Amino acid sequence: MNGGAVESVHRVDLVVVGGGPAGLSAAARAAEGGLTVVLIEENHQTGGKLRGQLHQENDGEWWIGWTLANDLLARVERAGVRILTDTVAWAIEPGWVVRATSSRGGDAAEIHTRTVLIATGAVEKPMPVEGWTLPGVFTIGGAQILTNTHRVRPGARSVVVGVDPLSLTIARAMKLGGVDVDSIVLPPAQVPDSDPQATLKRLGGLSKLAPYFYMRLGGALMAVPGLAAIAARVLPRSLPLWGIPLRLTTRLVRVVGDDRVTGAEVETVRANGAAVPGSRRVIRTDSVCLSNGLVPLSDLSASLGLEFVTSDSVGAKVPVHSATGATALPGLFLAGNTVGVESAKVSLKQGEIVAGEILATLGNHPFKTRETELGELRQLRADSEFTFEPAIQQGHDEIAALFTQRQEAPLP
Amino acid sequence: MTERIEHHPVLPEPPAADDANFTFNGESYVGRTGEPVAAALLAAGVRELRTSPVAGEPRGLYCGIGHCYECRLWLGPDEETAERVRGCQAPISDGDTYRSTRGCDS
Repeated sequence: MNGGAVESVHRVDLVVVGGGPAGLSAAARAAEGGLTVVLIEENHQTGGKLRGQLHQENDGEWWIGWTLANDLLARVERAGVRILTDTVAWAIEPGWVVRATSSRGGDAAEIHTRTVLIATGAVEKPMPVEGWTLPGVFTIGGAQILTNTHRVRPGARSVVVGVDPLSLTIARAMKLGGVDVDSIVLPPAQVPDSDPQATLKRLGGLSKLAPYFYMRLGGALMAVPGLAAIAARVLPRSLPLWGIPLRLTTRLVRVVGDDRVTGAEVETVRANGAAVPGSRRVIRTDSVCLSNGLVPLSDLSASLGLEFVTSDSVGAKVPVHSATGATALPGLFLAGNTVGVESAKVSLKQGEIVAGEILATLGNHPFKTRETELGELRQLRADSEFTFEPAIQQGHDEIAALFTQRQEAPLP
Repeated sequence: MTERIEHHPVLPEPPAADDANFTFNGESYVGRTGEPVAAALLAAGVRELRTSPVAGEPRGLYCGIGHCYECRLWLGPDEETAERVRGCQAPISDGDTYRSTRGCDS
């Protein structure tokens, strides 16, 4: 850590903004390749969301993000990367200058560099619902960080709202951390496509998660056209997931409490989302965790005037960039969830690849294994246990093609 | 009351951290050096960190990654020189003084 003050640095080869899996792996490879690298991380610890991840892989092995993040940090340190934690990069100027300040306040500093990698990750989409501003309401990612990184329970009890890969795995991690997870329920009616039928369809994306027997069942059912509605009609009211009731016919109505959370009001719904009259009831709880998916954090890219493209396949609006993370601005690169929400395994690989590209750009090493590594990235995507967007590879291919097109014929 | 997870069934133990004595709105607390002040307060059962500018409603840690700014606090004993920090980000040091942002000063 830097002790609360950031001094100006002249002049390095690469500044990496973001110390999550993509930023750490990029910093390590770049420094191992001979570049002088500064890594900026706004948190006190590096690792980003990787540090809080905890789930079982298909082979039963635990994916312990805490250990993986520490191992990666050790590699980054061995490679001689200068790590500035507790530091916020608040502006990037072409040329390149990165302006930064301490998370504890204080004067701004500037770092001059030949290249910049934006690896700022993703943020959670809010789920506005009555009572969501009460202390004791957390995003599911906030609950993950508290439980697995800071080792503090978000509550003695919790109701998890939203059914997706993150909510299911984090609910389990919360239970492992000693939280009494009452149940996982559907989001409130105003969240689009959140009725039991639509939710069941989406669960197909989880079908590779071996321990989720019911998820696999759901995925198999969804492959047969027309079965979604039938499956939803026969859904039991509660499916046990590691002892946590997954309630696909219960949805949140509002969070209850005066000055802090005291409960979650829920109602029973039919397959099409229609509420069952008279079914409202309050679950007593001191915390509610809301999960509504992630969206790339790209404000630094936007501030630089990069062209953005909306890709349904990627599931987000992201800057136009090459397959290896180059942008239209020479010396500016992107990697990780800032270009699309994917698993940490993919982010780690993206970081390696973008570092290969940066080393080549600065003339340190030709990127001889570019195509091989892009092939490995493709394979990782195909094998990923966490699929947020099933067609994300196609989306990235389209964006890379658009990047090439723009290189050949730039916009006026 | 504490909600600290002392022995996790799967995760390795975090490195040992020295106690950090700090105050929040004049009350004394003990956290672990380097952990975010909002996590230390949550472990001590404190959920309300500030009040909202318009209606004065209580607000607490929400996103945990420094993005939503719902946990912003004043850090520093002197009102003139106190810095606004995010409670989910600001690492505690021994002797820190924190104060809620209230209403329009937040």
